[in-house]
Amino acid sequence: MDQKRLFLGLEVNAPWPSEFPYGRLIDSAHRHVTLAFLGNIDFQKMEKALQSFPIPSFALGFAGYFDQCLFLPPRHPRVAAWHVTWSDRESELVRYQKTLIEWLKENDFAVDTRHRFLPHVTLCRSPFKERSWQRAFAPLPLIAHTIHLFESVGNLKYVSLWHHSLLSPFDEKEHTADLAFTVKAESYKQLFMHAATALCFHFPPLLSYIPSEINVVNLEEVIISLNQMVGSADGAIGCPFKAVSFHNKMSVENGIIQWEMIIDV
Amino acid sequence: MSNLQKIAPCTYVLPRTGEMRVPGLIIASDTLLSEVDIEKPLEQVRNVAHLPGIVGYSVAMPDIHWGYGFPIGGVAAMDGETGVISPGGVGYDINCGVRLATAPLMLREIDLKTKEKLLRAIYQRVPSGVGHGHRGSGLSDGDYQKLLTQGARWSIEKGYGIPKDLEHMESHGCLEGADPNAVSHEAKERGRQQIGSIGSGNHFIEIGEIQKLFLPEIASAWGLREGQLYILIHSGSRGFGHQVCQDNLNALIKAGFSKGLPDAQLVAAPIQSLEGKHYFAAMAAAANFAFNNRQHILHGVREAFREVLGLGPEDLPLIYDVCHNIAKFETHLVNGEKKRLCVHRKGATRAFGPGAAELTPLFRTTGQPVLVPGDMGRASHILVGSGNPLTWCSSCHGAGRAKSRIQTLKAWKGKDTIQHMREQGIIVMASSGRTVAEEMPDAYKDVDAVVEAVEEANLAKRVARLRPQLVIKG
Repeated sequence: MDQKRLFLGLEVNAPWPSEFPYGRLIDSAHRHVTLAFLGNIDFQKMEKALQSFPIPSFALGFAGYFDQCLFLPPRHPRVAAWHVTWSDRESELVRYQKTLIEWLKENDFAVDTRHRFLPHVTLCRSPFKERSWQRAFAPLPLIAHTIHLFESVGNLKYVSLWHHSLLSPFDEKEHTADLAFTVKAESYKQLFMHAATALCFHFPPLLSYIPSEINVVNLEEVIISLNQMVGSADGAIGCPFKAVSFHNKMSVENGIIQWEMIIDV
Repeated sequence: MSNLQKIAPCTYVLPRTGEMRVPGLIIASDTLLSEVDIEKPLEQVRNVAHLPGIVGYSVAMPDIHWGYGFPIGGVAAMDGETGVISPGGVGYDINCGVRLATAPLMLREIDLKTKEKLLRAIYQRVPSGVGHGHRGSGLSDGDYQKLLTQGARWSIEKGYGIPKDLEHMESHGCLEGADPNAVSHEAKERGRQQIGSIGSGNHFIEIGEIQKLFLPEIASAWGLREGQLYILIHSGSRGFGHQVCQDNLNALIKAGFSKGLPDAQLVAAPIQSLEGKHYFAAMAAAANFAFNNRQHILHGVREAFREVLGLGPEDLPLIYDVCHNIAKFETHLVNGEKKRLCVHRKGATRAFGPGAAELTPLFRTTGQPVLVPGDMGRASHILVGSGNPLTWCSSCHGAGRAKSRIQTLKAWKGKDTIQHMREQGIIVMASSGRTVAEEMPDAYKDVDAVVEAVEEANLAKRVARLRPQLVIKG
């Protein structure tokens, strides 16, 4: 029997800081959000089960941000982690995580369901100094658009054995003079959030200027709202972007809006 | 490549197609045309040719690259009565420009320690980088009222310069027609702390030596000597101008002025409409903010020279200050008839030749200085305008980017860019390592090739080649 230490998780991309406080750091290529932990199981059994893997109903990946530093488990922390808040679709991901758990149970895998799903990314394992990690924390954007079956191979390394890709909320593109992204979303509100997250990847302090209420019904309003955000940040703390241009190359395919966002820098 | 037809050295016509009202005119050498992806900027040249009231050609300079609506390195003149004015034809950084000053010193006479001390003294006085402005309450509403209408004269009256400086600025450092009431509260808030700061991106302060003279007589008339220390400053209207552009784009798009245009970013209002006049009044205010910004930066540099080298402001004369993102009313000959035109220059510099009535006596004799920064590693150039009517007396504004920011960042990832530049004999100070990586010399076209094309096309002539040694980036 081929026993492997497995878990299902979301690969995470973020504009990680170049330096972290002291600790046994997990390399950026191995950072993830765990959706379901399985422990040591028979890999062949899992391979068979994967044929009926519950493909999510959503096509798009998730955007969000790290909002606080956690030390887990709370009583005797062994890891320092950053908690994730998803910009929208929090409930959609929670529902999907429950679906995964149900599917694992149906396939006779023992899953620990004592704890509520707590979306977080573990950054380091003990020993570490909580105070240093707390002090170093600053909100940071992230995106997650690939579900993996990971194997824990030791030394804080995780290898993907299988994956299912979703569409990325945004991809950076080449542009001679400026910055450019392809932004994807299912609604204009989401288009704003994904575009704002893309901007925050280049300038994380902009996260504080994302409005809590977003009312946009077309691309023009999305662009105007993004520029209000850039303008507010520039007035208060300075901002590396001059403006998001009124470049309106946009298409809609299978319910997914795709917009080429160009930022004058 | 598009169907370009060569009509003169380094001069190509892009024929009219579809709804283009005028043909395009591309100034470039064969080499420059083959070195970069030219199709997207050419599409923008064609798009600009659709604008109502455009006369002559939709022009592109040898440093052309893809911009916002208009290409960067684009020039378009509109009939002053029946044409349109377009915020996209000016750009976000209204009156982004360059100014050149000199010192009565040979750069080689200054030792390395003093050079480093000088650079640090400037760095301390002139804020650079994202969000770095001056501390304190900043500009009051009363200050704004004056500086936006008086232009650089306001700064000089406040002690940030000498009266003679005004004679060495395009339009004497003031665009007429500015109205502070046409500027939003948000724009004023964005600019309040930013006067006298460089900003980020491609803005800089550069000190170096005049390496070679091409036209010694003109150089001498302007007070330039081989080996002499020069100071080059590149900045614009900062957040103030960005917001003015944004406010007016929003208003014009909402008012439906983008309908029928091939690209919404070309949105333009008739010059004589309320919206067109409003934009011009706000744009002129932003242009005057920028003149003041560069004046304050020069003041900071002069203060540093006083501290480190004991030189007074009169010892560091301003040679010239040019705008390269602006729309201005100028009189030109159109089909043999004098016409008032609204000339949009976006990433392009006015290049009036000898005899131009608007120039001060010195420059009326020689033609105006045209300042062309290259990159921080190779060279910059001082040219003299030839007053070529084909381009509405315009020339290039820089080297133009050859590589995207991502490409350049990837190429320099993990390398010590500051140390690399030092090994090339150039000391760089910057608030962001990322900016330095994005602005490394290989990101740009070869400025020598760009100015050679300009000279061959008879837009301007080379006066001097400058070699940078000390650089401050945002």
